[in-house]
Amino acid sequence: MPLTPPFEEFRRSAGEGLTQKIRLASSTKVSQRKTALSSAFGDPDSARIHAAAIKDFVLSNLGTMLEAFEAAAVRRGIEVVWARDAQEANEAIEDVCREARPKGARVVKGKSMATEEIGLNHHLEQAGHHVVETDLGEFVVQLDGDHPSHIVTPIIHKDRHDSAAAFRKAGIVLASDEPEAIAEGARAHLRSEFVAADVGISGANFGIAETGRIVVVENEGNNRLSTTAPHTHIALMGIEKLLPRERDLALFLPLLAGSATGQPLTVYTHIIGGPREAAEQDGPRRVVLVLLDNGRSRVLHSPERVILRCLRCGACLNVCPVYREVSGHAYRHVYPGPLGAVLAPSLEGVEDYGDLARASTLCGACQEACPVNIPIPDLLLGLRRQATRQGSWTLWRRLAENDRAWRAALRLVPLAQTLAPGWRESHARLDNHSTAAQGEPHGRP
Amino acid sequence: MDAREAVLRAVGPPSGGTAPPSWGSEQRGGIAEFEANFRLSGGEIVGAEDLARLPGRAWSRDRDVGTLPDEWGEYTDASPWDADLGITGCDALVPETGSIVVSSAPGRGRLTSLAVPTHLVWADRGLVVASLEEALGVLGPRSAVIVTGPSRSADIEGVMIRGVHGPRRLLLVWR
Repeated sequence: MPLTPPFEEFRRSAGEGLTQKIRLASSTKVSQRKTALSSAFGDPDSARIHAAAIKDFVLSNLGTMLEAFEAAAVRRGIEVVWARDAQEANEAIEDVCREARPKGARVVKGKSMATEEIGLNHHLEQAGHHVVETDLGEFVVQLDGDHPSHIVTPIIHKDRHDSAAAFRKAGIVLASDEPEAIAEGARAHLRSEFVAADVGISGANFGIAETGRIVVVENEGNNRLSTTAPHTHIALMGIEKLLPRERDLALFLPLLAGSATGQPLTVYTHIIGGPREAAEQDGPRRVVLVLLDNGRSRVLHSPERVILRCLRCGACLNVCPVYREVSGHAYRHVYPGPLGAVLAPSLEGVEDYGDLARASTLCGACQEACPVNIPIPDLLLGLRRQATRQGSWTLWRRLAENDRAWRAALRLVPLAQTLAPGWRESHARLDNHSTAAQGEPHGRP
Repeated sequence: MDAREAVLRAVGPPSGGTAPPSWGSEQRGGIAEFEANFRLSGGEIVGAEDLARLPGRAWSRDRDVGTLPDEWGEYTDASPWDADLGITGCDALVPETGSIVVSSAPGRGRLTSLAVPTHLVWADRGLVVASLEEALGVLGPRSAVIVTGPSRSADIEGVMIRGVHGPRRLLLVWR
């Protein structure tokens, strides 16, 4: 499913100024991540390797974990629905929206890449529901009929004037093009949507197998409003998102927030325990959790299995010399950057997305940055072998054919290495760690 | 075959074993560290003498908040959507991140700490726990939120904006 024109066109339309901004924003994020993780963990590499071991345990026991999670969630009054693919998930969510308001529900959405993956907004709108994205960046994307170009900062490819223009086109009055004024315009406009909404839809960052609770993290408060104010809350969660115990969040929350935005924790961490109880003052009356497979169980039994550890923090995008040069839309898939270069062909086949595996210099910065130590370069090499057999080269060939982009990407390799000092050594060290961790999975490395 | 059965079959049998131990944070903080990190996150610690200057209509249904001084302004019965100030108690304070844990316990409404421009937390020093892991143990049985600073976004050009949907100001007063 191609999302946008090829990346050269994107680069031309974006202009050098914006490419510079993406590079600058990326390097700021890289240094903030390092500071946050060192402060949280002292030795972030041990934390990353421990987190990887916990996720690997979950993946090795996913069936029993899912059953335990479902049983605990149901005991809390959460309705659990299983979906084999995007269509089943869309239909399940549409059913709940229709039950909330048969003639078309008012739906507010928190940011969720899983809902992007299944094309939920389009499906609900076709069925007559009114859907509003409430994350500031995603709202701009929706107003513009665009797609997110980064999984954490969706409008990294737009400047303030682009965003302000999208608001004005939609008839929303702004005091100026300043970011403060745009945010104020969004706040004022979306307030009435929250109050009037029948249904709130969110993703889920974690599901806790032990307690059946759902965890959603965010900074703006729109996700919390979406999951609190409407009568019905629907959460869409990939089947791989489970953690064994609630106390594992003490590792995963700082790891995710630090890797994504360099914060000690996101502003809001919602631990959702089910529908409102009689004595509670507010909260949804109905909570539905949709468990999404959509190719994940196939990836689980493929050589790319460990990509399912991914927390969707976006750190691998920020350090990647290729992502920094071509930005997210060039990857043509909802999951861009190094993680997308693995996930897109794994989920949807190397026939359509195998070329993405070539959009990498194999510099190793992505694995170095990954909070769950996914060996992305190794996975990309494996996919290249598969793609070579299938003869799929598109994006890499485009990069190679565009002299300027090619040279720029190569120029950024040493920069990425500077930003990740000692990456070669730590790469080797991590490999040793991984081997040790495999030999003795229950010990702290 | 229904979807549940199909997904579980596709996932396949478990390989067993026991889960690796939880991380076991070595962080051990106290009140001073909490205050420092709370301020770093953008929170403000206010004294009783500052309360008279807080904005107009307050909203609270939280019994832990207790009797409020007269100078806290009038209470509104309308809803937290219309209040200038939402007041809640809290369940735990986390030194390493400067976070506040607020459960959905009766009276401690979720919108009270969210739909208002200013959220005031009425806190007891005894609620400062040693670590995030310990805080996760006192979340309560239902829903909870861990709040780390005021609402923010950097979506537009990476410029930090406060108070996008949630409170622009996060205040804490020690009891």
